[in-house]
Amino acid sequence: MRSPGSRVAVEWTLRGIAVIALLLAWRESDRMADDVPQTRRVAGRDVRSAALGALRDAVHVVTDTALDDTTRALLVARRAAGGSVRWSGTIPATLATIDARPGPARMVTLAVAAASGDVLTVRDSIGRIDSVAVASPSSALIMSAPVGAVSVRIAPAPARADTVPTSAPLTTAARTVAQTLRVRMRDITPPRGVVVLARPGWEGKFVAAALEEAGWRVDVRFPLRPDTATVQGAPRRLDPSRVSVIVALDSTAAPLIGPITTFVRAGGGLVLGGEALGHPAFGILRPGVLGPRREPTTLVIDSAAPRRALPLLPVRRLTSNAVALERDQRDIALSARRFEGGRVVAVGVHDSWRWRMSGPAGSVDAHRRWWSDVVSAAHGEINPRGAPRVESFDAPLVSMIAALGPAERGPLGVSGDGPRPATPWRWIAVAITALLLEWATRRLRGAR
Amino acid sequence: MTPFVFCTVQYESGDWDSAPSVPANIIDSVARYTSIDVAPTGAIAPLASRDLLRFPLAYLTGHLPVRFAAAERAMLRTYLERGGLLFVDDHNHDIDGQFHKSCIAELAAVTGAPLTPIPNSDPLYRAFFVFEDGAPNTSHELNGWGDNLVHPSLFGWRRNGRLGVIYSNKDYSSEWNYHPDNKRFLAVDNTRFGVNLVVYALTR
Repeated sequence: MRSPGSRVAVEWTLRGIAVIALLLAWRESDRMADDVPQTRRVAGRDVRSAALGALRDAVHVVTDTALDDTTRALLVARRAAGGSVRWSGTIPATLATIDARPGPARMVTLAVAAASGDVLTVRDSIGRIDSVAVASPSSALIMSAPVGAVSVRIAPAPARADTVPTSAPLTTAARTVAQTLRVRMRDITPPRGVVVLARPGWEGKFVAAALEEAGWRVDVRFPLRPDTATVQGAPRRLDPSRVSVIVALDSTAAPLIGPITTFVRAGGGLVLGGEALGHPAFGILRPGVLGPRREPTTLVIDSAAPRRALPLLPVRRLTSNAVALERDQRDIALSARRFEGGRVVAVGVHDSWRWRMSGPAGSVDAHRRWWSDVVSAAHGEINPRGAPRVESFDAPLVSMIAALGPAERGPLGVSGDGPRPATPWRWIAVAITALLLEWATRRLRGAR
Repeated sequence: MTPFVFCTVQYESGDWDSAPSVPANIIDSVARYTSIDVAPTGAIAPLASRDLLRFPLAYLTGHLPVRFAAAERAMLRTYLERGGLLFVDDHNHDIDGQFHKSCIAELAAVTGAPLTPIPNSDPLYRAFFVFEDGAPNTSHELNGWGDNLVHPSLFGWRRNGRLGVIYSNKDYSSEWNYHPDNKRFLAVDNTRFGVNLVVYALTR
């Protein structure tokens, strides 16, 4: 049995412990309040207010659609200032790009990656062009020449009463936000005419036909005998103000080498194909040194490499200012060079009409596009200088990852405040225990 | 450069080879009047075969009723879609004849549209020789044989503004079906319109 003096000492010790524990509890709670951030899980309209909130709080954004530019910028700035910003959610990889199609019709292709059924609304500076439902995850919309800025809005498909969503939307606001792409089209100089110079034959006929079908204005001259020619338009007026490109397919163009060279120097385009490519008169204009003519290795024109079944007069060594546009195995089938103010494109492929007539399904369109692209390459004003300039780009998933990094995995859901910070309960418990012991020992010795 | 080859269409029904001298006569005229590189002999392509696609101008004639097989119909549709030009001549020169009735129906089934008259202002009539009054008449028409009519025009079907089918009731198959050496007995070569057909096909 301890003496009353020693028990008083124990009681004082317990009182001291209680006081110290209370002090520690107070200090810890104060430190927690100052140093440990809270994590706030936010969605919808709360995101912006959370982005503007106290820096010590971590912000976890839960979303299934891209945030608008301002909110995203606020979150990026918050992170740059030392704040913690994370996000999670399932954003569809919606994407839209717009590109000028080569050719005279000034068409543009809008390529869209979006969920089937999403509604695509396209506007230009004049007004709404079209509104269509996306048929498949990767779709393309071909439009005639838009004016000024093109705005593409991709909105989620309207919900149908008889469909059951596979995943519940996070918030109503998130599911109704559409993505918008804005593109400013450069003013494209409409191309002028094309002159085709060839002997009467299937190659000249079908090249001219393909270009006409693609929308080019085509002048042709087919000499039928020394004093007679079939003429369409004014093919002898090789003036860059009315003609964009000359297509020379055989030696009938050789007597015009003087005017043709002047035309190219003045900024015109020249396509050398067939026998014209190998004709000595055009040596100064060729993009390189020719190799030996290569006969086709197969007679079957298939869709994978339709031009491989055609004879080829390849360019082997390019001049210093020439580039290869298309290769067939090791040979250069299509090449181009700048010649003073103009361009020269060399087409090594012979008898391309066989591709159109005997190729697989779709060969007519493919042949037409290919020749239109070749002429466009020589024209040089649509591609690439005429390509539209992207003014703002809002691909949802890409923009979120670019701004905030990859999404975090884990269960989704908005829970308001995050986990509670640690509190100094243990020190309070110690203080209470010490005071209870002190009270007990004091009562047991009869003191009040 | 590939020389031009005159092609005759072989089809399963009827008598596709009723005018065997026409190809040689047209080839002779093309070589005689133009500098077009032309193969000295013609070719024969079955209508159902992909070989037909090697010849963007093809000549079809006959006396008897024409009934294309499904494969022939499909290949002819492909041929026309790709830019081929089919020249059809009624060897009976008879608009009430079996060839005319059946062939017109078959062509309409393939093209999906009836044939329409080709106006006299068409470039076909100025492609090389100039025929101010349109398609030249044949001696068979002027002699009153067949249907006893002088047919005012040829008929055609166009795709993308270009003639894909040229149809004649004038019986050029009889008019041109002789040995080329015998042209020397003619005051005016009656195959000149054949040259126009070839030049038109090669340049339009």
